[in-house]
Amino acid sequence: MSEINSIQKILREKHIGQWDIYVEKAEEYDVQLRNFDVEIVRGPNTNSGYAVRVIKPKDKKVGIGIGSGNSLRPAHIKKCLETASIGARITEYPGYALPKPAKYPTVKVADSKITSDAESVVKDKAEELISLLRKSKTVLPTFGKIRTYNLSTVIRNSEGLQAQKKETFVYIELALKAEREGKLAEYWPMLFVRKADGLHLDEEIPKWVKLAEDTLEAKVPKTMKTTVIFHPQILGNILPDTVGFHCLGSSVFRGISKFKKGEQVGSEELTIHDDGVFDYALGSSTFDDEGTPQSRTTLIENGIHKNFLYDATYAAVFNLGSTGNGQKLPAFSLAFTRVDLKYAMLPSVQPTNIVVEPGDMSLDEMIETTNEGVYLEQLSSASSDSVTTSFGSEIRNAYLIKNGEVSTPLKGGQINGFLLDSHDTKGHKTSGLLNQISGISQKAQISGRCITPYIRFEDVQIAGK
Amino acid sequence: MNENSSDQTKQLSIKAVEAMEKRVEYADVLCEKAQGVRVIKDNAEERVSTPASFQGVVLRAYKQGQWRETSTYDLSASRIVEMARKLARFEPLSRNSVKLKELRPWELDEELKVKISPSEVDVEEKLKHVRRLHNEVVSHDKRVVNAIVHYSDTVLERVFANTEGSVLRQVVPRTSLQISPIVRESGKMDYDYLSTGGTAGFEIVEDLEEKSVKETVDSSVSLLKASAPPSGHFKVILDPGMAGTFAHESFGHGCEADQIVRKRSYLMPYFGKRLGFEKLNICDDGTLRGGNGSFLFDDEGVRSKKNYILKSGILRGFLHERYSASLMNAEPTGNGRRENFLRKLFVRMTNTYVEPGDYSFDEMLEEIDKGVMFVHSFSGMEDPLAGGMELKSKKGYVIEKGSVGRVLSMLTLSENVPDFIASIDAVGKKDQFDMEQGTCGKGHEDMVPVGDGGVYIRAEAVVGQG
Repeated sequence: MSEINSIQKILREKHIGQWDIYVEKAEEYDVQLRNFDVEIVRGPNTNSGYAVRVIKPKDKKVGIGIGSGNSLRPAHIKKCLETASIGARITEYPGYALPKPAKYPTVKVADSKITSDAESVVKDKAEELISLLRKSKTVLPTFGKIRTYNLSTVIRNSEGLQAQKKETFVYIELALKAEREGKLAEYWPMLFVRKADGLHLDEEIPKWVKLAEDTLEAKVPKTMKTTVIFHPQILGNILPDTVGFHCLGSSVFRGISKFKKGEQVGSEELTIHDDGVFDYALGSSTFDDEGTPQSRTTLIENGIHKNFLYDATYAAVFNLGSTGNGQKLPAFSLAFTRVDLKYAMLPSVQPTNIVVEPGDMSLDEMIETTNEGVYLEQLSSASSDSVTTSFGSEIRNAYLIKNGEVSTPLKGGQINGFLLDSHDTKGHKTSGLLNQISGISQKAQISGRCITPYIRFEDVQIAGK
Repeated sequence: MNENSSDQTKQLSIKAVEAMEKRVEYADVLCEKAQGVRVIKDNAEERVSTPASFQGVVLRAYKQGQWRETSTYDLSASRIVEMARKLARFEPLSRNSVKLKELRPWELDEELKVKISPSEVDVEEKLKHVRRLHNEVVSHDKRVVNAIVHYSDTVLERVFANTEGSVLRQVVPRTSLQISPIVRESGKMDYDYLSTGGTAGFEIVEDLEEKSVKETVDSSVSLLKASAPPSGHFKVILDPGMAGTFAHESFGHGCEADQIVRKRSYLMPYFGKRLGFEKLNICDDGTLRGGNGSFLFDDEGVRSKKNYILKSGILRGFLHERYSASLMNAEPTGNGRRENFLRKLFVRMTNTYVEPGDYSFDEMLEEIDKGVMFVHSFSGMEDPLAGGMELKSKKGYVIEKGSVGRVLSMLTLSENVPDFIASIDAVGKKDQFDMEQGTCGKGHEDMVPVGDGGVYIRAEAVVGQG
């Protein structure tokens, strides 16, 4: 990390008072499959990027500029500093205070297998994947990719803070095709985890194969309002953009948060935390992207909203402590595989890991106690609108539940609704899904930037034929 | 690059190719340098950043049916030549007999011209305009609780060389502007948006009329009165942006030839067959002037071109990169693209659109007794294997007895794609033609800039809340 010293030297020469430097080195390997063949082996693919922020206090406000790049030539570094200085001079933030040196928690975010020999890990996992998939006589992998990331990050600022970490990720995406009598069906899983052993391919692949096969017999659902059990994967996509968004200090400041402390926002059995120190979760770290220690903050407890999340900007604005939520992420949902380019982003307040506390039912009990409903495994995009919390998506892999048993597979049609309470055209409040919970499973799993169990909701709109 | 001149970068690329050519069947080198500025202003913050400023090189080699590649941010000549030598020695993990199609070498050194190059406008001027637009939004209506103005530009230089002797350089500027007024009344919040941009310069900001900004605010306010969309199967009209999202997400992804090679396209059995009526034409056009997905050559050195994928309702062709073209005995179509030097090249679309037909909007509307109109595309998701579709629009209208009725907010459309195409019975006229700019992923990553658009189309689909 010699670049950090080079950058700091130039900052000193230019007599810049308040600054921070973020340096990120990435090394990646991946193997991509076409059916059972290796299409391409890639790596090492390396990047080493840096970003410099310059902070300029102004009358009641603050200017913050950032310059970033991955060229180490002095002229380029100087240009970055110039960009950051101009940004600090011309922009306005409502407040900011650079984090000071702090004691950091211990959080596990790196896999020693990947840090020591990532190339072998990726090749071994690709072989394992091919071998397991060959055992299935009924599905064909149309494509697959496995990638490892080794990242090293250092943050230093003018307050004397220096923080550094190493972290790893593994990304797997594949599509499994089932074909029978001219019918085609697919299951298209994607996992992004911290550890190679976290993939559990031997357990997952038989489930994925079954989902692809079952979807061959899928029907389009009819239009109805019914009970729906959501897979954690779907909740992992929806919750950060909705619950997370409305818990941000920035949303409060902008006047667009739907939450107020002490108000009921969900069913009584619902408790949600933002947990930035959950071992091996994707959003975990000892410190956030501004150098503040990450922490655990209760957002909703027994359905009541408890706390908001803050980065260094909104901690200063509200005169509170940062909760360690200053994150360099371009967007909640699409952030995963771009961790190697995040150095260039400006930090903003965002959730780390949304953790839903488990309930007291097993998934089997949830299904057994559902007279009529839908068990939802995968949606087309499973995205939602942050401001309104409206969501709607095509059903990709699902099952009807009849008399407490999983029955006909479903594909097509849509699931629609609002996560949080909304207002109709006359200003009357209508209930959001979080107020319609009728069951939470005992087991939770890491799914994107969430750790969540299965959740059962009542009275959910399905649009079909 | 760095301070390397364009000529030095070309020489560096040629040296790297020369270091590989004796040990491989084919190799190429792509050097890139991007510079750009992003300016975002809302009621709380002004954010000026340079997320698109980076450089890198990717070296790619082909031997016995398998690719191998490596990439780095470090553009020092000695390091790249050493990487090239090492790469060329690779042993394929599996082998096949596919011989890559040979292409005639060519040379090019050209910049896509725009009216006002974004690199010639200083960041203070950019922020000044963003502040002006922000002020126009917030001052137009008291119900605006937050206004987000998002401006970004990039100037991307790519230098390409391969073992066939091609040496190419292009500079492609892209500029985009989005405005989202968030409005609130009686506890209800909503927003619409304005989006413009493409392979264009700062003129998109200077030329934007205040009237368009005010219309976006008015449209956002209208959504405060929006009711929930009906659920079920309806006649639908898609505006040009939505028609483009359909052409790209729902249909175009199934026409990417790498999906055919992988046996992952529902369109395989339809090649040469009729899918839609004779007035339906869909094409992918990397040469479209101003299109967000336009460029001069793709990332494996193939000149961009216009390709019909659906012509007169018949599936006419697939989009290719070099390997898929070699395997399927077709010509590369200029669709081999990668997000950046760290990501793999795939078959990707460019500007995908529905060509104009002969229906006026009023004619399209008056023939519907009960239906839904989708306007302002929000997102789309592909299902290349099974031919499902999901399209979302930010706004819509109920259609009743041939007239546009109550306004709707956030709608989703889903259907089986062949059924949807077969149901298209009206395609709008040329005067409706419009393109939108966006980004497209291959699966869950690998984002590249694209354009989608066309004209109004009428079809049938399942409708629900978005």
